[in-house]
Parts: sequence; C-alpha cells; structure tokens
Amino acid sequence: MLSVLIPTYNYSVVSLVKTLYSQLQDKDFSFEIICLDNGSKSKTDLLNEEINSIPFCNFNCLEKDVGRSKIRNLLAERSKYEWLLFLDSDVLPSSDRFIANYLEATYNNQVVYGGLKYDDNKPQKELKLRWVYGKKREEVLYEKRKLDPNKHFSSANFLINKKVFNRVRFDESLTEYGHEDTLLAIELVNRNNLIHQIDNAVYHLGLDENLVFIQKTRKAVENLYLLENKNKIKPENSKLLKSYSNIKKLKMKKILAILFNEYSYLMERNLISENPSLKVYDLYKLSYLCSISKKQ
Amino acid sequence: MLQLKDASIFQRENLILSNVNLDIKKGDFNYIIGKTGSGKSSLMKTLYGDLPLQNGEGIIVDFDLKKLKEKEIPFLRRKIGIVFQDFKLLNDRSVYENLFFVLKATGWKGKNQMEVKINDVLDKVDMKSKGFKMPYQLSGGEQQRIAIARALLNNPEMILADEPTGNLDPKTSIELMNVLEEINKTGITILMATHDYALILKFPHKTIKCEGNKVFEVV
Repeated sequence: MLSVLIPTYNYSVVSLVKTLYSQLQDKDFSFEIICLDNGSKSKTDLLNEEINSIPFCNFNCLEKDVGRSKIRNLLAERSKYEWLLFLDSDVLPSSDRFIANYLEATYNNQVVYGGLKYDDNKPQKELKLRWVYGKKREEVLYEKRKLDPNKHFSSANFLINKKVFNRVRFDESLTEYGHEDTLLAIELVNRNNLIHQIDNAVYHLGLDENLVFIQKTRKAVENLYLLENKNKIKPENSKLLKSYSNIKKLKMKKILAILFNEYSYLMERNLISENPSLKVYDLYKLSYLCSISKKQ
Repeated sequence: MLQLKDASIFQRENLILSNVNLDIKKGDFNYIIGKTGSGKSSLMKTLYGDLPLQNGEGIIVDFDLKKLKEKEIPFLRRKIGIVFQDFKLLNDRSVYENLFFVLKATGWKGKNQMEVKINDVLDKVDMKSKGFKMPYQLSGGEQQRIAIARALLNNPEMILADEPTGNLDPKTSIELMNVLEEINKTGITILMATHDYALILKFPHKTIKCEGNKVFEVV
C-alpha cells in the first residue's frame, strides 16, 4: 500500500524512521520505508545502518552522488507499493496523525502536499536567513494553500500515486541544486494532475548556515536561468522569472547586473546579519540573475 | 510452526546466509544469536515477509514464504507478533488508546470485546494498572512490556522478538524475560534474537547461531 521514500546525504534519519514506524505499525496494510544515502560516504552511514533492524525499513548507500532528482527516481524504482510518500531527511512530522492524514487523502486524490513548518523559536544568528526564508515564504498555512493549490508544492513532504509519478518523474537533466520540485509540479499540472493540499506539515529542522544558504541560492538561480533557456520553466511558474521578465521589458537588466557586480557584498552583509531582509534577498537573486545572463 | 529448508537469505543482491535449515515446533522457545551483521536481522526479516525468500523452502504459521504475496503480509503480521528493540508508542494518546487503535485497524468491532481484550493482554504483561498512562510516563522496561502486549492483541501463534532487551538494564531484562516465559507457557511459540549471553544462561533454551553465512544449533 505505502512506500515511504527518504533520500539522505550525511544526515541521520534514524529518529525520523522510528517516528514514522510507530505510526505505520498501527495500520493494517503493507508498508515499507526506504532510505538511500546519496554517496556521502560519511560516518552517518553507520548510524543509519540501525534502520535495517527495524521491520519493513531499510537503508542503503549509493556509491556516488547522483543528484537530487535521480536519487528520488531511484527510490521510486526500488519501491513496492502503489503510494509513494517522499520526505526529506531533515524533517519530522508535526503530528501523530501524520500517516493517518495522508491515508485519508488518498481517497479521490493522486498528488497530495502536506506543507512545511519551522520552529517558532528564533535560531542563532548563523542560521537566521534560512529560518526567516522558511518561516515567511515556505511555511504557508493550509487555509491559504488551498486557495491556490497548484502554487504550493515541495519535494520535502508529498504523497503521490506511483502510476502518476511514473508518468512525470523528477527531471534527471537537473544535477545541481534547486527547482527539481518546481519542475515536477509544473509537469503534474500540465498533465492535469491537481495538487491536493492538506494540513499535514512536517517541521523542517535542517537549517543551512547563512553562507551555505547563499551559495545554494546562487546555484538555484543558475539552475533557473538554464531551465528558462530550455523553456522548462516560464515566468508564470516563478516569481523570480516574472520580475526578471519585467526588468527586461523596462530595459533595466544592465543596471541590475552592475548593481550585483558592484554591491553584492553590501546585500550579503545584510543577509548574514541578525535581521536579514527578504526584500534584500529577492533583490540579490534578481540582480544575480541579471548578472549571469549578461555574461552569457 | 516454522520450517526453513535449504533457504538462502538475501539482502538485495547480497547473499547473507545460505543453506539455512530450521525446524521450530509449536510451543518452542528458541534464541538466535550472532554478531551485528551476521544476518540475524535479515533472517528475522525474511520470516515476517520483509525480505523475499528467493531460494529454498520456508513455511511459517501456515504461510508459504516462497509464494507470499504482498497483499498477504498484513495477515502474516497478525499471526506473528513482532517485537523489536526500540519500540515506540504514539505519544498523543494513552497506552489503552494505543492498543485500541491497533484493534480498530485490524477490524475489531464492539467496544466491550475490545476492552476485554486490552485488559487481557495488559494483564499478561503485568501492566493492567498502567493502561491510562501516557507513553512518556512509562520506563523503558514498561514500554517494552506494552510492545509485547501489543504483539499479543491479535492472538498470534508466534512471537518474533528482535533484541527485545537491547536497551534495558540487566534487572529489567530479567523481568521482561519472565513475561516472555509466561507467554510461552500459554502455548505461543517464541523466537528471540539476542546477544545477551547472561540472559541465555539464566533462561536456557535451544539456541541457533548465525556465523560465517551459516546457521547452526549450539549447545
């Protein structure tokens, strides 16, 4: 009935698996939890080995990093059951009814998104940017998500029927960080598979440090630029691309590229501060996009 | 009750144990011992249908492991109670409600009948007075007793216990073993993986060892 699929990279998923198992063992259906390390060859692999002693749960390692899309496709290929629940390794269900809520949603739906949450307590300064971004942009209440269901999706916490997944799959041409879930959501909606929203969030616990998050952001912007050139993501699918196309119409691309090249350090100073501003963050992404497109 | 003939145990492509022959009769109490990575867990996993039996023959509680279909696994799980080292109850409900939900999930009807059953299994593990407790109010030993009570709910013919005393201190381990012994006396077959030799000496039973890809009986 249900395969829970968890890609990981140098991160212990033992407590996530145990939490899920405690909810699954109550149910009278077949299930499995499959965890796969993306070739981190780290000490965490040994910790994760413990998963193999839990009934219907298993952990394996890949020889090398195959990218965020391909590992998810591999997990789906290795799964036995008709429903796939994809979870990121650094999340934890926010309720003891997590599995039950998803099961109820399988009735009449093919793709279900449960949502993300962040801890209400502010973290230390080094993790502030990722937390503010998560809290203000990714943590969207169910009441708001259901008004525009196809706009809200993340690969960190979703359920999908295997037949539907096999028709779309994650785009393996993406090997760098970012937007694999945007592409999957676009593909789903293009094929008329609507995303059903439910109130079933996971806590996202693994906050990147400011500098790591800025690095990842830049990678994601580069990826977005490539995807736009290949026509895989259009301005209506991404707020950043929408602003970018407005900037192009206003013929301000060059100015923003200069802004990035001359003043990115000032923006970064804000982003790593105690009070990072998401307006600065948005400007940082937009001007970076202008600067890379100028170079090409 | 449980028979394996020339069975090979695989974890994905890797051969873990070969030529496994086991014959466990109704009412037996058996240990499986062996170092970490010797194949104990894989053997247990094959017995409850988590890993497929690829070579050889195997029958457990009237299920043919070779022909086991995925749809049948929940039914097999009802006839075998599984207890493992790090059992967790759902924290948002009492012990009683935890057990109640298991019965509901396995199709039990009638609140009175369910209540009788829950009291019965709690009594068997000496926890009758603790049904109203929340899981976080229980000690490790008490949680593990509830794990056993939970495994008893659907009248299993056999209990597979994978290191059930793994996280317990010696005194609590002995108390848990007394509970398992009592359950065994009611006719339920028990197969228990352990590496606690002191426990085996105190409660001697037939012992099967996994070592060097082989399974054999030791004295």
